[in-house]
Amino acid sequence: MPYTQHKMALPPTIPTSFVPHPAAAAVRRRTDLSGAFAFFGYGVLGIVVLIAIGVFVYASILSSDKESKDAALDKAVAQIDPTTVESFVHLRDRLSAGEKMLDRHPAFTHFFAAIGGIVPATVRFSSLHLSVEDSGAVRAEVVGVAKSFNALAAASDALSKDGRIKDAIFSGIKVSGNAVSFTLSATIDPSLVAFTPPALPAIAPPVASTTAPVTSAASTTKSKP
Amino acid sequence: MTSRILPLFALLLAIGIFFGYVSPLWNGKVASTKAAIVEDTAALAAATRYTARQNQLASEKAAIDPAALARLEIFLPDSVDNVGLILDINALAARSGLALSSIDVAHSNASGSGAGTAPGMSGAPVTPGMASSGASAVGTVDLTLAADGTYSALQTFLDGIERSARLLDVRDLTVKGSNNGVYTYQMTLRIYWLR
Repeated sequence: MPYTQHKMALPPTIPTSFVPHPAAAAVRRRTDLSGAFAFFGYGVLGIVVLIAIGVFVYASILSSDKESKDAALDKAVAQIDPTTVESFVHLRDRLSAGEKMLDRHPAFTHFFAAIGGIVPATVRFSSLHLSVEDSGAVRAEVVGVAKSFNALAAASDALSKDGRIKDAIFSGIKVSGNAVSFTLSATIDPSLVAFTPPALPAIAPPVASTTAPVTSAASTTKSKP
Repeated sequence: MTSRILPLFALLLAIGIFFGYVSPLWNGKVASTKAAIVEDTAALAAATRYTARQNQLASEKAAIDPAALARLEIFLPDSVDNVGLILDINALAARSGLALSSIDVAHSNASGSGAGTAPGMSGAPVTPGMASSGASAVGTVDLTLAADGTYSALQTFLDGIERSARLLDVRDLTVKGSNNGVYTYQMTLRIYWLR
């Protein structure tokens, strides 16, 4: 008989002395989890501490940068002289306002010089009213006397041909003896009263234009009031 | 047991540091400082531009003839000084051969509406330029004067008025004739000054 086939069967009432031990793999797994958790916790703490240090350093650098920029800005502001700024603004205002006003500066002498050549000598103005309206338009209101109807018609024709005295309306025409009295209302073209700076070559010499007779004897008779 | 508590404590400490220190510092002081630095940088750039502009303007102003600047100040003065102007007008009238009978102030916008509008200037404001110059609007005063003289004297006087060193605008002129060659004139002159 083979040796291995001799077995002794234990009766089932006899308790065995076997104590089961935990499996080695389960113990190792629990240890690994604890270690991973510890690694995670300490790792997070380390990273957060590093971030905190970085933010602190960054904030310090920013504060220093801001202080330096504040100092530079204070220095730049201190270099700004309000008086200088005001003088520049004032000069600019003066230049721009002066230019605008000079563009609208009326020169009625041009009108008087021109009217003497436009209106025939047979027409005489007894009163003249020139006004600059707020819109910039120049209005003329004239009361005058013409030697005849033909003279008045010639004056009307001359004004319309010239074109610089616009909307000329003759009214209040009355015959008194040989003369014809009338009222004239018109708008003067801005070019006729535009001021020409003396520096321009087109301007007449000031003394000559103011002292010399502007028109001939006939024209002064006809154009002046 | 300790091997579990310490990592948990470390994790809680990390969370505490992050939300108790890092986050408030980043969102508070750091953010505000960064914003302030951006503003400072923009202000410094503006200051640099200002300095360059100031130097440019100073050189351009220096290039203007001082005599021209003086004439410009006479042309549009800083004050009304209508008394001195009346004296000048009176002198001009005397030189021209006109006899002034009266001079008066007819209208003034010296108190102004703040808009800087000079009436009669084609309805356009004379306010020169930008908002900073709102207080530097142009003031106006209308002077009325009456005079007698010849037609030639009137032309001489008008020419002097038109070419006056100080800007004088004839706003209204009435001429009434006579038979002796001496006419009656009524005139409204507008004078300006820079407020």
